[in-house]
Amino acid sequence: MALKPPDAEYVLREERTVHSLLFMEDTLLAGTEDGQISEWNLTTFRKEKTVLNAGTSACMALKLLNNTLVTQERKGHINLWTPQESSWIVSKFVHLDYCGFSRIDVADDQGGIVACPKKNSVVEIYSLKTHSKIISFERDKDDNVALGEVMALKVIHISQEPYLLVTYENGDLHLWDFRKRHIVDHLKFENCLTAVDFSEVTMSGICGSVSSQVMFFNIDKNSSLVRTRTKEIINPGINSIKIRSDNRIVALGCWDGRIRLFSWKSHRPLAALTEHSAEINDVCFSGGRVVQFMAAGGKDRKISLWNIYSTTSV
Amino acid sequence: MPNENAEHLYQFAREFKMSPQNIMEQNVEGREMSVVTSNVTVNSKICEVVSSLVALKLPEGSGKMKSLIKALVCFLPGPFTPQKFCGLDIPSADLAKFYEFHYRQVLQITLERFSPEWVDAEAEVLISKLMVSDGSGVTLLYDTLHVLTTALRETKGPSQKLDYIINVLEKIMRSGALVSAVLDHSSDRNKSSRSKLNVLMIQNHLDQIWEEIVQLVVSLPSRVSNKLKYTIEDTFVPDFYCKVLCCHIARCVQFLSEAVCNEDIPLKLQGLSVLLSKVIINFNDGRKSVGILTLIEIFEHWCSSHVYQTVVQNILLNLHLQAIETVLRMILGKCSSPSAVRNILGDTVHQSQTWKHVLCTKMLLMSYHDWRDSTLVENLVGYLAYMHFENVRRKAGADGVPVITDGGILIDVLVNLLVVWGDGSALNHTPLEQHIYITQAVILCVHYLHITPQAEECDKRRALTESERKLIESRLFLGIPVHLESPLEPVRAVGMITAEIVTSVLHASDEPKLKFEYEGLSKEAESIVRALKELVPREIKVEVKDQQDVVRNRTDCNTQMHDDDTVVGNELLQCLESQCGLALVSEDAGDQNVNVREWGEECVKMKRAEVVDVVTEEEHMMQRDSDDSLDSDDDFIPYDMSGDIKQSTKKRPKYLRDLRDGLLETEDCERFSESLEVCETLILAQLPDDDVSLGIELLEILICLEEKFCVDNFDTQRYSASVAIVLTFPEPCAEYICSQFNMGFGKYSIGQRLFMLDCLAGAAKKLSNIQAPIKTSEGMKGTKHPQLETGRKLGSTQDAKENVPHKLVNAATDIIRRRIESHTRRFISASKPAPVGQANKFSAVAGSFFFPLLYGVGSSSGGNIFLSSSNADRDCLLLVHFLHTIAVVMTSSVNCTASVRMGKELMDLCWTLRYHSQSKVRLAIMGCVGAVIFAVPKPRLISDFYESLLECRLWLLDVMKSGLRQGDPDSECREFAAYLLVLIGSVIGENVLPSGFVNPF
Repeated sequence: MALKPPDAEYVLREERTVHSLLFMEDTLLAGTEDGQISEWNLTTFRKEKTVLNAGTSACMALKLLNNTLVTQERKGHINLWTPQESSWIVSKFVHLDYCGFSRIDVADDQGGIVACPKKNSVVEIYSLKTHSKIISFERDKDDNVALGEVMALKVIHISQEPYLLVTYENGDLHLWDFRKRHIVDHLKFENCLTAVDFSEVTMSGICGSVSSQVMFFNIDKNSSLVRTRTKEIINPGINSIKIRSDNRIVALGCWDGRIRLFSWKSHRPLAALTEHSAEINDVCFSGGRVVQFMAAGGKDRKISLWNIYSTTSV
Repeated sequence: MPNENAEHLYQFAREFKMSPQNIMEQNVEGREMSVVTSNVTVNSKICEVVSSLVALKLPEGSGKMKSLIKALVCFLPGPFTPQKFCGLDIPSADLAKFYEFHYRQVLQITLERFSPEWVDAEAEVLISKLMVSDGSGVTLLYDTLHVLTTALRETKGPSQKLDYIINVLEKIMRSGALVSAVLDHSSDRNKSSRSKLNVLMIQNHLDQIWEEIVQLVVSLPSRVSNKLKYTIEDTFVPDFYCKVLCCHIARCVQFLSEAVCNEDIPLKLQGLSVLLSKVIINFNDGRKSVGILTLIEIFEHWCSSHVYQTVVQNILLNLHLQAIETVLRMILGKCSSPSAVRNILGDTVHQSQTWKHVLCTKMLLMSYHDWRDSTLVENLVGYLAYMHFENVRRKAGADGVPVITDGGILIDVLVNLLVVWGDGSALNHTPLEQHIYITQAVILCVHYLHITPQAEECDKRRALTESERKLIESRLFLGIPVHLESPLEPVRAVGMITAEIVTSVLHASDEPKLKFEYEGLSKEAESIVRALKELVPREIKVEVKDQQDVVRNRTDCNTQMHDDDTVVGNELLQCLESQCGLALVSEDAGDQNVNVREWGEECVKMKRAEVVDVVTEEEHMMQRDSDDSLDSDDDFIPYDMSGDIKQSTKKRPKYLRDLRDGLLETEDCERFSESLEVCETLILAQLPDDDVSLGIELLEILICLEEKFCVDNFDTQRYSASVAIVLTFPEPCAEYICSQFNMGFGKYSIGQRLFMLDCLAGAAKKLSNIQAPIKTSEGMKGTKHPQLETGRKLGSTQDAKENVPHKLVNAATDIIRRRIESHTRRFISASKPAPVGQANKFSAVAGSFFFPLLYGVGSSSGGNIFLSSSNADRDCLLLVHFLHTIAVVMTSSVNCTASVRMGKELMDLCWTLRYHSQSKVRLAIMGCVGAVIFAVPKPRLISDFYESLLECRLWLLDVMKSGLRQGDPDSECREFAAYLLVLIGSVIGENVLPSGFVNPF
């Protein structure tokens, strides 16, 4: 008889639905439905008094780039926050006409870039320094296939060169090249892809969809996408996928409120954690400075903290 | 003195130095040599011998007797020859006198005096020589047969004399006597010689004699078997006897054909027709007689020659009406193609009204044939098409007018067929098989009319004029709605496919086509549709022989007589003769069979090899798929994933009241489907401890439940849950359902009411717990009741599921018991385990299932609704279902106390409904009767039900009559009635089937 899965180490309660999570040093930032970002102290496990007001609609994403916090608001505002002494100074970055589910992604290339989803299956890359658009990835005009909205994106590096993985509403997964500014390869899946993550170490990635299928793929030496395997989960729907930095496990935040863990190596299902009672919006792993925590937040206004399959002891 | 006379006569015969064969010819020559004295001597000597025979005293004069007979044998005619046939070889006046007046007397005397005292082996041979003559002709054969059969009738058996008579009869039948008589009768030699009046008189006399001969010949097997009882000779077994007669007939035809070929004389074939008619009528053996079928086959081959055609067609033309129908059916079923039929039948359809009636009316409209084998109808319609087009061409040739004035036979037939085809009441009252048969004929007719074989020369005119096409179409369109309205699926399918085929054939290719959807047909209907689609007419080549063609020169004739096909016919005849022991033919045919078998085995091997290949492929796939389990050591150990279950399972109700709300759910699809899924188990677990009112409430919900959300197995789950409720509270629930069922039309839909019936039936079956007796030992087998057997048959598959754990337990106890047994020493013989008894839960509640259902509870009318308002139930769906349910309830009440009372009520119901117009209802009624017989104990059946069973029996016997205008039109009803009769017979202890009943299945 296999062991019962462990309970959550800590459960933090928010007042609104949690949409995004970010580990920052020894604090945990959580973006909620009303656009506020609360800061949780990971030593006392209490909410700090500082509450950032990121906007009026849900805070979709929290990203840290060169000491700058990048936040994405549901209605399209992307703001930059820089810490100054004990407070944050906010500055407007760009405004997107995008109200979808996709989150932005960031990378250090060229002094920091932000990949933003836009309307009509377009993804634009903005430079952090110049606050201006540097690349726009849009499909050829003569291509008749309707991709639908951008559902998820991820900046990756192949041989130190930046590439962009984008999933679309129609189930397509595209790999764009920054230098050529053009699509390199694409895969077609059956369902709308809602989440994607990629490990640059193993050169393999994972996609989640609205169905009960989880798809794994590789990028081979010719920078082409190869579909490797499909796994079934019990209940359909995945909101968020994160691969842990040690490339050993991957966590899936699912619509049925469960966090499902898979072995990254064998793609074997490892655990289905049942703390949340409603769908999970975001999953993230800590950088590993304090304890290797995994955090998940969702519609049930809870943030759960897990210490599971840790390589370092608590 | 008489002795000397005999000696002289014998000497005289010897002096002619002739074998008996050509005594006649020599006689003629002798006369020409004008030896008048010898002539006188012959006459007087014959007279003397005969008178001395009469005066002879036996047994003292046995030696004289022999010599006298020996002398007489010499004067018998030889085998029949073409010369005799042509009238070139006529017996002298003296001999004719002998044949006419003395022969019979001699035979009578001989037989009268036949006794073991003087007859030894030699005498026997002599006497039989006297009686059996290859060339006896009409008169002698008649005398012989008449004398012998009279003697046969008068002789008390078993005796040596009887044996001898039968032996002689057998010899006569195997000899050429019959052939010679036929030919004698057919020959026209008398015509030339005497005056007209005389000819007519003689002719009449001969015809009379001939008919008597035929009657005697045909009745011989019965006469002989009446005497011999069980030890009948092979020759007189009807089947074999028929073969022998067929051989003779074929020989006659051969002879006559040669005669036609060589002499071209007019034929008088009525005699042969009479014989053939009688043979066909008496020996067709349900139209399966090997002899007649072979004869037809021989005809088929022979008739490729014109000479044979003339003879055969002439014979057939004069057949008896009754024989025509039988033989036609056999010819049509046997022949390989319509052209062969055409060769055999020739123009009979135009020449004889009888044939026309049989071909166009009786065969098409008043009989039917299995539709799966379309040979008969193809041949029939093909033949008519031949006739049609030949006639058309002949007319066209004669008049030069290309248009058919009066339609032609095929069009008349088609119109007649369509009238019947589209008749609604005919459709109701004829069996489906016949309807399909008519449909096949219609389709073939239309096909033939379309592919006009004379296309090459008359492109300008179609076979059908516009008005004829209109006529056919209007008839067809009258019939289609009748078909589409039918409750029977096969009939609807037939209507659709016929309309489709006929219109597509009739219409030009550019006109719009009729098209129907055939999806969702039952297997039976599908196979019918396929069979009808595959009906395609054979190609026909019409060659009209001109009058001049008929006159052919002799060489042409001879070659025709010996071409391949007729030779095949000859071989077949030889084969048949060898079977009858009439000739000797060696047979060795076996090599081919061996080859075929080997080839078949090859095929099987190859197929197996393919299968193996597929299997290995599948295994590879499995291996490739299963590398999931292979894993490296440093991987994490998975936690218990058993908690990871479908989200919907959380919504599964745990208590009955939650279940009730769940079933009423209109928003949440998952809750509804989960409720339904868990319904049966929850009811079985919790309802027994709960109140009846909750059960009824749930039942009400379930009966009215609609499939609000798409759920797998909605119907089965709803059904099993309802049955579970009824099982828990049988009495109140059954009464509730019955009352709801009998509420009258309006409250519940037909579907819901059918569902109620299903629930009742299912619950009754489960309650009575009818299942196969558990076979723990051989001892049980003896006590197996027939009722249990049928009950198991009726029991549905739902029981199987529940029996599984039960069986497992049984198997376990069985193993334990056997082990104990093996270690036990017994001092007395092994004991037999007692049969396991089971409580019959149905017994107490059977009444509440049955009576409220039958009469309705609290309904204002008080009577059964079906009997009063049958209009709303047009297809009788509900009624049939109701009757089935009643039957199931009845069957379930085996061994119940109420079963007798129930049986009586049910029999009354059956009695009122047994002549219902729908076959399904009649079938269900028979099912009810069967159920009563099963369920009511046998002694009670005999004491209380005897009269109604007898009445039932009469009714069923009536139903079962097979025939076109009698019995039930539905074959299923007839079949079921036969089974039911056997059942009734087993109860009242009589063999109720009429002795002549041949199982048609």
